[in-house]
Amino acid sequence: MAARAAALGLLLCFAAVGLTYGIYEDQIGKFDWVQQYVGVVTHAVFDESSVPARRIIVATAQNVLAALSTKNGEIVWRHILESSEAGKVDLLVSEGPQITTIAGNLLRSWDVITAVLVEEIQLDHAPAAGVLQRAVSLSDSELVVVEVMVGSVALTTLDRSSGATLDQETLAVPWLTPNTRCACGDKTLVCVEVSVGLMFLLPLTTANPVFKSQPLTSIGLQQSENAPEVTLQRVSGSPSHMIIQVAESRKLIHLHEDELHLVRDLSGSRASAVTEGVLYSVMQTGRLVTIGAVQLESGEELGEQGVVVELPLQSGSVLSLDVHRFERRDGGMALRAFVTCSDHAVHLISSAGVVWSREESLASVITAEAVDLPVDGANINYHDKLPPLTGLLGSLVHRVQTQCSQISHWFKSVVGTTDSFQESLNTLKRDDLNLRKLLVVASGSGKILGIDSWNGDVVWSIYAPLLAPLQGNKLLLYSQRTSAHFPLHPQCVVVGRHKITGEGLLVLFNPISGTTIGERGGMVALGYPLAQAFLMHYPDDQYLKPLLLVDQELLPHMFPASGEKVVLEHKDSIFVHLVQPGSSILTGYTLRFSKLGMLTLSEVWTVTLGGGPITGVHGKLVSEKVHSPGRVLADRSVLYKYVNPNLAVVSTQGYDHINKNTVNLYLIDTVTGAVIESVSHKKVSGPLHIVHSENWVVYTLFNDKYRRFEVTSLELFEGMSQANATAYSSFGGRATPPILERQAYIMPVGVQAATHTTTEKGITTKFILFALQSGNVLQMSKWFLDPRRPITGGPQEEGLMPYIPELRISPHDMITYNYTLPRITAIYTAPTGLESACIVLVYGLDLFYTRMFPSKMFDVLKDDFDHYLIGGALLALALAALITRKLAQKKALKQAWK
Amino acid sequence: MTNRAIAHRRKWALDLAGRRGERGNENLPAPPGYRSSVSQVHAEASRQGDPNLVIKKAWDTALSPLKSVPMNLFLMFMAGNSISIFPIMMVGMMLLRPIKALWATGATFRTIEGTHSGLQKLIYLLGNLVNVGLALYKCHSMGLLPTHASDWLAFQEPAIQMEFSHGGMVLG
Repeated sequence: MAARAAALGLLLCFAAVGLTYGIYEDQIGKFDWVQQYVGVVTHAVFDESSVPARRIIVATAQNVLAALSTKNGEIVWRHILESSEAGKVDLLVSEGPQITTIAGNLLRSWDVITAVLVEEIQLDHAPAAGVLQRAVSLSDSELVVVEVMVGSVALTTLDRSSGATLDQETLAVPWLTPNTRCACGDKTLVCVEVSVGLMFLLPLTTANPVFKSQPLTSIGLQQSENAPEVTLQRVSGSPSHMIIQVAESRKLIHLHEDELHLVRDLSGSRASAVTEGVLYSVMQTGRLVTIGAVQLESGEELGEQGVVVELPLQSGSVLSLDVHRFERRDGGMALRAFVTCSDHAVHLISSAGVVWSREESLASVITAEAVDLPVDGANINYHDKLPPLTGLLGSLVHRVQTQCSQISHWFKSVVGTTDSFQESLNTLKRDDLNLRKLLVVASGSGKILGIDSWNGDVVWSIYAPLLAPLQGNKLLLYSQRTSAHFPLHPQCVVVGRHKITGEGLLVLFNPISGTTIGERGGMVALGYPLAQAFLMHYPDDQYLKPLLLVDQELLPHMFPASGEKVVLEHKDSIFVHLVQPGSSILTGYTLRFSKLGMLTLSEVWTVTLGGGPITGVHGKLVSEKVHSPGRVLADRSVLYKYVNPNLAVVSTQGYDHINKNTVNLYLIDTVTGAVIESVSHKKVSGPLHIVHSENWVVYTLFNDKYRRFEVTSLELFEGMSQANATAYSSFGGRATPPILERQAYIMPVGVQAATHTTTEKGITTKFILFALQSGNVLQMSKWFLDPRRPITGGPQEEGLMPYIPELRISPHDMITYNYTLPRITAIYTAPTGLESACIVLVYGLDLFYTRMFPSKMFDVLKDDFDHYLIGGALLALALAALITRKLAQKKALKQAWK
Repeated sequence: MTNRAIAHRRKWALDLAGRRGERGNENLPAPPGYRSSVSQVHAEASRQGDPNLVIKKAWDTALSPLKSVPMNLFLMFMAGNSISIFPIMMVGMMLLRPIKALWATGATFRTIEGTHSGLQKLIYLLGNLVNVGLALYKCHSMGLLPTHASDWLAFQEPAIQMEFSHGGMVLG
């Protein structure tokens, strides 16, 4: 018996090995695309090793060092440096065929052409605590690291070739506040403090440096008490020039013999660069960018070197400029200007126009949503006005009209065009299986983009300069109305923070056309700081799902205001739960006591959770559909799942009594506040990635004790019978608590992000997608993580494999095949019209899109299904049956006459 | 048989010899050795001997389904509970034959008349039902009948959500 069980187990193992889902070589790029980005450019230099420059070397806020081709803007090479402060590039200089970077305590030289690391020197320097700003001054033999802190400045002089500390000094600077702006140029540290009206200079070369002060009035700026916005920038191309901007007035200053001299008033310009004694400044009016050139020595305007170009639609304001000037073959001078904008886009400009643009805002995508495209022909009537509501007859007439127009459109498309595929590529319309979607993404720069899932092209973009992420780097993107309610426009909303006031801000737009809805560019300033925003489940009479906004005072507001009626209608069934950041108290509220014109959140329960502050509340997807209410056991009885749609996983992280990391997870019914189950892990640390769906929770942790990554799987069951099969209410539950099954597995690699696949009806097996630290995305069937995998060699129930703690990772299970995606922040999955298919968008520094078939294509005929042979055979059989029947009848008649 | 054949032929024979009115067999003398009463007597005798035979035959028919029960039981035992082509075929036949027979009950008993015909029909029906029951039991023990809750799980509608809860960390 034992031998038989073992044999069966082995067989199942082999079956599991056979469950691989790799793709063939010729399928690469057919259903997936990848887009590589570098991030928000902070430093840029033209590669001086060749004339004209073939590359632009950039360092970004995402700690990426990359070379962009000047010809087409493609990434020639890219190095992902260490994350966090250790990889933040402080200095980027071009030194002939090499470039030198200082990031953290590493000085590195890279070959520009081959991207090889030529030299790496570890600097003998530990970063101080509370550093406001860090600046580095590099010379041939030594480098000086300046760390600006509140009340003091630390100077460290290091030997360039060995990295050893030569000299270290900390100066007490009483006037230094967080508002002080400092910059390092030409071996001098310059600081500006507007509240005292002084500029301070600190020479970095002398042995005993002392700050020298100079009044702001000497360069034509005034002292100001009301803290205007001050910026102090180095000018690219010249170490001795700087720009000080106080409010609107902007001055170019020159550093000469420890004194600052005013060179020019640059008020009105956006950014400047100096090259070969010529100052280039960018002026911007809307999309129109003017680059003016001025000879610095003489102050003479060089009109022939100026450039006027128009930036692409929805561009932000110019933030920085780098200029490369070279002699053309015909002897004339040509200009390449590399411009970074506030929407994180970068442009290379020549005198003829914009050579190329890169949409680097896609490197900081915060949230994504897949929007259904309109069905064919639905587009044409979008511009018609809404039908006047004239009752049944009117709506019938309208319906017939629209359907006639759709039919005629379809007829035209059938008769008229020959290459319908090419046409469908150009126009956005739904395909038969609704596999093509429009991916709407909102990025940290305040840009909202629509991406065609077919090929990854940006279809439209909306730049909202005032939109900033909410606390925790979050933007909320909700689809208020889909394209199903023709002729009403689909509508999406992005909820964020107002960059200046810090209050809530909504951006309304049509996700198909990419046009904003309403006045002031679709932006709605809420006028109160936002705590949370949720999309209501019930639509109003215009099929628009209203948004419930909760402000910091915990007062609910509706957007649009007409949604109040909808909420009041269902006020007994709407509940809200909130956690203040850093607290360990979860509070539940009800809208039951709301009246018309006065919505109120009334506290109904609070739960104080142990084990440190709450780090996350993970509910289920609102749109989730659970197809199977139970699990069939080996004896054909049913183990019913505990499918509570309002169950949330609340995690707390803290320390236990012996100061070891602990992680606690609480499964809480967010309607009643009942703690259904709790799980505690000792000696584990994050990052915690939780996937919560149906009746299960899967989460990954790092085990400090065994130093390995672990995946834990929890599953909740109601038992062998169901309390109420037709409706789920948190109040009408059964007395006995649900059964919790759990098991942990060892994950060989760390995880950056995790999610599960979603399909239209939830019939398809769920897969879990893990973004590994190696940069791959792994798909793993939920079956492998089943907590009911039997530990002992008992009867093989439900076709489960025996429990083996180690999870096997096969290279075939990487949906990203040979791509490495750095810095993955999240994975978004969305259902399609085909039950077996699910679309996946992985975002982070790069974007990766693919389709997944978790249960293979069970609802689609195979490619090699021979329609003609089978159809022909069927027809032939039917024909043969008819003919033989006739023949048989004839024969029978003949026989009867005999 | 011959008599009937003769009578039959006579009915259609064209008598050209006699005149109208003179025609008819009554006028003709019977052939030598022919007695018209004999056939009647024969028929009488056969009718008198029949009832026992008919009843016997009828009971045979009525009891045949019940008689096949032990045989079916044995076959069922031999076939086992595994699901493969032969047991399936066997169970299929076992199920279909009595059902067919039930449909054809009227036709089977049309020729049989008698005082017991009601009872016989009833027994015949019962026997067939026993056979159907046996086949169903076999189906059940093979696991072919949707008698478990798990068989109807796929048709269960998803539960309606009564309450909606929204929330999370305060993002202010």
